[in-house]
Amino acid sequence: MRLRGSYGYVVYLLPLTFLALFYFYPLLAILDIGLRPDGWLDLSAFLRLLSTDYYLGVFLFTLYQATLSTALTLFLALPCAYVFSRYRFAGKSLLLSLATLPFVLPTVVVALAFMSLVGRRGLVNDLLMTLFSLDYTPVQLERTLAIVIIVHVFYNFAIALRIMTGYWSAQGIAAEEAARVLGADEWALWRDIRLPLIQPALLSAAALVFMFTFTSFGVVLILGGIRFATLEVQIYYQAISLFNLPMAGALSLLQIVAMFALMTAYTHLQRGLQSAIGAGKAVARPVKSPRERSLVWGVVIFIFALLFTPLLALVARSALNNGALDMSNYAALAESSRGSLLFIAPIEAVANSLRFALISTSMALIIGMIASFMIVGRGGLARLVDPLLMLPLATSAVTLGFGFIVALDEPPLNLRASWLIIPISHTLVAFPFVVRSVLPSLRAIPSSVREAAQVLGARPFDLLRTIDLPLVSRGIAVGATFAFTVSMGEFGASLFVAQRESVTIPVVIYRLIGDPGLASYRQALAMSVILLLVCALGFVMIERLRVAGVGEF
Amino acid sequence: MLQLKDLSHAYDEAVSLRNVNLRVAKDEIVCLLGPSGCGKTTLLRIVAGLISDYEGDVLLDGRDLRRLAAHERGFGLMFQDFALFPHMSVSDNIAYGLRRRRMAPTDIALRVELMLDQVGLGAYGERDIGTLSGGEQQRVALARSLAPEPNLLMLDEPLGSLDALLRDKLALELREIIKGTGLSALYVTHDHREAYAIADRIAVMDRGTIRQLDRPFDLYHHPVDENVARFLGFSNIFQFGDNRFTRELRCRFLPDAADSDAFLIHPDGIELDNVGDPAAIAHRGRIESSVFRGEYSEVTILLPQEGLRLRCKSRNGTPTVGRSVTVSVKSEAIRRLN
Repeated sequence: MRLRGSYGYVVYLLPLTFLALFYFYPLLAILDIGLRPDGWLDLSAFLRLLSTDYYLGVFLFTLYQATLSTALTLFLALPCAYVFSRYRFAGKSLLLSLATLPFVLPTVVVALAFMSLVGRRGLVNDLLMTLFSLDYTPVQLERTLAIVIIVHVFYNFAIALRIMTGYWSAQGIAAEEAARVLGADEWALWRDIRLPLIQPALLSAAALVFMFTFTSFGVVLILGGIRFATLEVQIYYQAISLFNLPMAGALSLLQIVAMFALMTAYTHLQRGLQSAIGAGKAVARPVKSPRERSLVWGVVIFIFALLFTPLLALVARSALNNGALDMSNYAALAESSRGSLLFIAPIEAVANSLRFALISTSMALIIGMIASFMIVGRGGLARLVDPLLMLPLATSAVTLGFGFIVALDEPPLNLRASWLIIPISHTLVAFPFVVRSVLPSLRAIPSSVREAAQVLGARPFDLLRTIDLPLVSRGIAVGATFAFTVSMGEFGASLFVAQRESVTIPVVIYRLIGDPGLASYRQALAMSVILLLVCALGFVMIERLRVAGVGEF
Repeated sequence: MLQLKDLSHAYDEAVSLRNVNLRVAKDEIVCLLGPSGCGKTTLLRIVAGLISDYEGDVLLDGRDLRRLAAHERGFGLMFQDFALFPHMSVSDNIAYGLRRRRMAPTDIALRVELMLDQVGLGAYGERDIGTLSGGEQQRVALARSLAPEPNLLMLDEPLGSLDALLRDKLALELREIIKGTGLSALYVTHDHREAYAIADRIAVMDRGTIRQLDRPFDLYHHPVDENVARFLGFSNIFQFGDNRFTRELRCRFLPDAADSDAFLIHPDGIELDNVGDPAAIAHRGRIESSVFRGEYSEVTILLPQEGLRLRCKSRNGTPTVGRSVTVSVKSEAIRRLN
């Protein structure tokens, strides 16, 4: 409607072409290499995948760890959500917004943060060893399933908390009061009212958390190792370490199918969530009794312990040496001491990352905004395009990265040797964030406002300039910041496509962690803090820009 | 002068307008009155240029408007939700149409000032839209649509989102302001009282057609058919063959009518306890309900033998429920309906 006439459709071709070239074409390439590695239909990789206990085990383990992570996340978030929705206390909304910080934190940073807290060289071990004069490390969490699950909780806790708190708050307290008047005790209230009422939010949060942990890559790769390989890690391992492309392709196909199934389930559950939200007035009340006070304090301390101690440990580890401020780790970033490991000095990766992030943000903005206009536009095209444009969101970064290296390494599209392949892959991951940030404010513009402008003489271009763009400017800023932080922290796809000179911060950190030397570990710490600061800054910007109702995240 | 010739439109199969013909003269306010879904807003949007897939012609001073897009028509349109631009000040809202016409900035400032004065919002220029009350927003919307001196003003339920008290007050003001500019106006509403107050002529619409086009007075006194009468709030609608009472009315006042002919007993022509008027037909009944409304009381009388209910207004007191009463109906009260 807005971009009427023939120009409109030409502009619309941009996101479609981008998707065709850099999403569907690589996906087809994966299909090709998985099903016909030698040019004819050959299902042997697939059959091996399905008949070998090892690969079946990988799949089952992926499900198992995702189930475990989801269950623990929900188990911890449920009581916290209850406290958040029922009580009013100082700093509540700040805490609720701070709790979403992990959402923008790169996996490498978080993995290293947990390593510096509870890892072999972590703060907790140091502390225990000094306190009890031990000569061994008492906490042995590195390369265990436990640490992977804990980090998954770290990542997804806030998502579950937000969904359930919002839903519970919107439900109101009327049903509960009615039940109480009818004689329900506290136990009956939970069983008959609260849990049944929160169920849609619980299921929706579960689906989302399951989806995120099912595709978890960086966390599992760094903290779990190959022993705890999920599908994602296995794809990487098969493709890069073993160069078994047909098997990597088959695994990717399995992953894609599973993700689409999950995404469909989630969309379905979410629709139920929206329709069920009724008109409830605010139910939060001030804390009164000592019991309530300790409940609130307990929740606040728990959230701080879960979300902020690892990050503080990381910062402390990077800048403290025997209790004194020591910036030598940062100074070491300019040195390319281990030429065999990295081909550039770590600090150059910072420049790379910034450059790629700026390019990806610009591309994601252009494509995301055109896509948003396409989606709000009327007609069959919009209905078709909306889910189509969201597909990359349901595809894991590792699958995308793998697709890139098998599809874009030969004519007609040979980008393998070009640094452009990195911002392109980042754009693919980041532009759905732009769409999800811009779309709500674009949809919120009443059609009558546009029509009023039209009747007052606004041509289509005036409409865009004077009405649409000013009204979605905040959403655009949020989307741009999201895109920037996503690009800065992108790990899965970058690991596949980055070359020696064009490595990004997360890739460098990963390489440094893999090196047993202490110097590399220290460089990794310093790099992680830099990345942490950049992402935290982006997070603050997003939170400040985000007015009520902007953004669907 | 605006002229609509054989205007038809359908939304995916569902017909929304069927062969509508209408002329709006210079300086005339025509109300499109009808229930929701009757096609009145569709008609307005076609005239505004927001809907283009219609059949028939929209002519302004004889010129076909079909090829003119909404932004080229130079019409004013006021929306029910006002559709003010939330990111602009009051002045910028009013200036919007002037800027699109590339008027000089100093002229724009003058014109905005004048419009603000005209709608009584003199000091509001720099205010944020979000800080205005409903009534103030309505005035800004009006000023915004009048500022570019449109050829035609269209208003889509402009009072619909305001509360009843404000509505009555603003309806009068609106008519005065529109009449003051000498504009032709198309005014959409579903409230017949609002239409009576504002319109020079009212077009009652139902299921995509204009059922009756009349001056408010004539519409009130002579609704043409049952649908129109019911929509205007009348309820004493019967067929002559219904019962002894209705047959008596026919014999006396309209002997050539058929049994199946519908008619309205206009409430203004019903009198209570006025026995002895030879020109009226009197009948015994019982007060079934009686509601005090202030200036008058709304009374329902049951004629028990016929099982027929009559509604009328009593201006002398509120009769007690259950009391028996004599109703008298005069010839002028009977309106034949098509």
